[in-house]
Amino acid sequence: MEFKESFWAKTRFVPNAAYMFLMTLMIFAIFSPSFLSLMNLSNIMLQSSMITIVALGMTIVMLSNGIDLSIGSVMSLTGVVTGLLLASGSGFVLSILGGIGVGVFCGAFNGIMIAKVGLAPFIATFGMMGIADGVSLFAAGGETLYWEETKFHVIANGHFLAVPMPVWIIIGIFSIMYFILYKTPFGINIFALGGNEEGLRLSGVRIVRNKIGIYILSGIIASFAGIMLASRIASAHPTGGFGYEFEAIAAAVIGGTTFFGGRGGLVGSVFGALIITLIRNGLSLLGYTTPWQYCLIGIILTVCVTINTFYTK
Amino acid sequence: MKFLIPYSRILILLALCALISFFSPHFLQTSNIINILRQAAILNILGVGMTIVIITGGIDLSNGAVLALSSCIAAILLKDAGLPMPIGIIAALIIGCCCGLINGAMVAKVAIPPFVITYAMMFFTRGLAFLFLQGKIIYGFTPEFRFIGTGYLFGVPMPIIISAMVTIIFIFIQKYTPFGSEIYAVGADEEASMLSGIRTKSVVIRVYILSGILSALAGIVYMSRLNASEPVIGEAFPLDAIAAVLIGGTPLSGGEGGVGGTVIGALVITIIINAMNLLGISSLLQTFVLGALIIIMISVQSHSRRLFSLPSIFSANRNGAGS
Repeated sequence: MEFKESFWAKTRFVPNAAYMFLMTLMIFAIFSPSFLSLMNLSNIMLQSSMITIVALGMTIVMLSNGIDLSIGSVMSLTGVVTGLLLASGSGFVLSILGGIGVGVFCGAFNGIMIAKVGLAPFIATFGMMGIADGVSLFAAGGETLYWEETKFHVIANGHFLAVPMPVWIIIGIFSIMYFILYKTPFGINIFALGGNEEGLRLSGVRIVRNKIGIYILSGIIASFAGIMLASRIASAHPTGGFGYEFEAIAAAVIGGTTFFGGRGGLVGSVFGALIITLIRNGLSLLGYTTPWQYCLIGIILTVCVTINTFYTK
Repeated sequence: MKFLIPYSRILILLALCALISFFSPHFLQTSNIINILRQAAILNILGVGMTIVIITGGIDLSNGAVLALSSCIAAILLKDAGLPMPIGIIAALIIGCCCGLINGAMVAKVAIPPFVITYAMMFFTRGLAFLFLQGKIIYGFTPEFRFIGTGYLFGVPMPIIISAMVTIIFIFIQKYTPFGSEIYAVGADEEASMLSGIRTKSVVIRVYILSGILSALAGIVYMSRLNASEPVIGEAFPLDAIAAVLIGGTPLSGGEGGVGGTVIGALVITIIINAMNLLGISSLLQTFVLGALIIIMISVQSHSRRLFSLPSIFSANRNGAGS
């Protein structure tokens, strides 16, 4: 690297999604006057928190040439299990640990099915999606769960040093993930798994162990998001996480992560998640409901995948 | 035991029936069996489309949403616009065809992994269905239209006849037409089939179009049977259809299997769900059972090949992230 770099030369480290983010921001600011109000912007920050978290997990899985379609259902199941524990008076800490346990268990199951049994990631996690959905519907009896515990609501609604808790949580998770992905051997293995799995195996790395680790990580992150979702809406709905895996994939892809592994990064996915939240929030302000938002995100996802695919070739 | 392998699926089906009839006396009643066949008919139509897609090494997660969109549009044309029945049906089939065309073109020309584009298509088409219906439910169709889903021809319910016709047509296509063998060739080894002169991209596109049309057809039968159309129908159908295909013996790796097995797969799944209802097991657990079935079936398939040393010359796995 050159010692003296001009400012413009440094901009190549800025992911393309950052420019797209600014563009989306400007477009909605022009069309909707209330969009840039402080209240709405902080609202966007809070709304984006869950998507950002699951997008970080999805990015790591996608970098290793995998996919995790069970994220949304694991979020629902985490919420339900945490809710049941809270409602039964198990206390704050135990409930959260129970929720995270769900993520570890689902992730480990995915990982074992993919790495040991050799299933294609999308079908193993698609099956897991059905399993987790069924269990959470059954455990909650098909109803929304409520609880008395109020300490739990601090996670997503509290403030620390005048900054909302979700922002702190995102900063924390992002830092940990950044460290894991870029500073540890495990992180290098994730990139290498996506780049050349056979080469990695031949160089003596334990593929199975690494893959299971990746899916456990993704499951834990999904359960964090599930706990935050439950805390934010102060209830747990058995299908509350529906669609999050779709938005996480879209965020990762907008951020420049490909489906073929090895390319992409965490920073892009954060901007991808912000873009998706901006689009959803902006469209809501303009009066376009969820169906419009899903249609548009579907189109954007397709366009970005196409661009990424051509770019990779 | 090896001579039993070709018949293993039929044996499993019979064993399942025997087991359930042991627990529930109502299972083998004629009305229940006709009911099962009728329910399996719609799943079978979707499963046939899914089978040919999976034989080419792809997957179609959008079939439930395409079913919803096409039936919603048919409902709007028939009920709100008051157009005659054939126009509604043809419009639905065209919608299915278009969705399939987009899926196929994206898979074949842009080389997007099939599960990604069909997953995006699922959200896109379901969003469109919500937009067209604006959250309402359209119900109460004409008797002629209801005949498709509830009528009888020579004493046999119409859905069963339609489903049987679809199955026979596709078994014919897969066995006796060049297109049928091209589907298997593309699934087994796309590179080799391209080098031997098969227009592989066109084959893939046509397969997804057929899957889209079959989803739309299933949508019409489903809507006619329910006598209503709403945007949320068919959310679990991709899961059901994939499970039916896997139980029917078509592996996700492509190049093997066939439509015939899927019929049995669709029956097995419908019987399991029916038995859960008869035995009073909560319907909330249905997706759990289907998800578990899918995972068990693929695990068994990937291991049975080693166990029984069945021919495994086709090892191409082109499911994108699966490779």
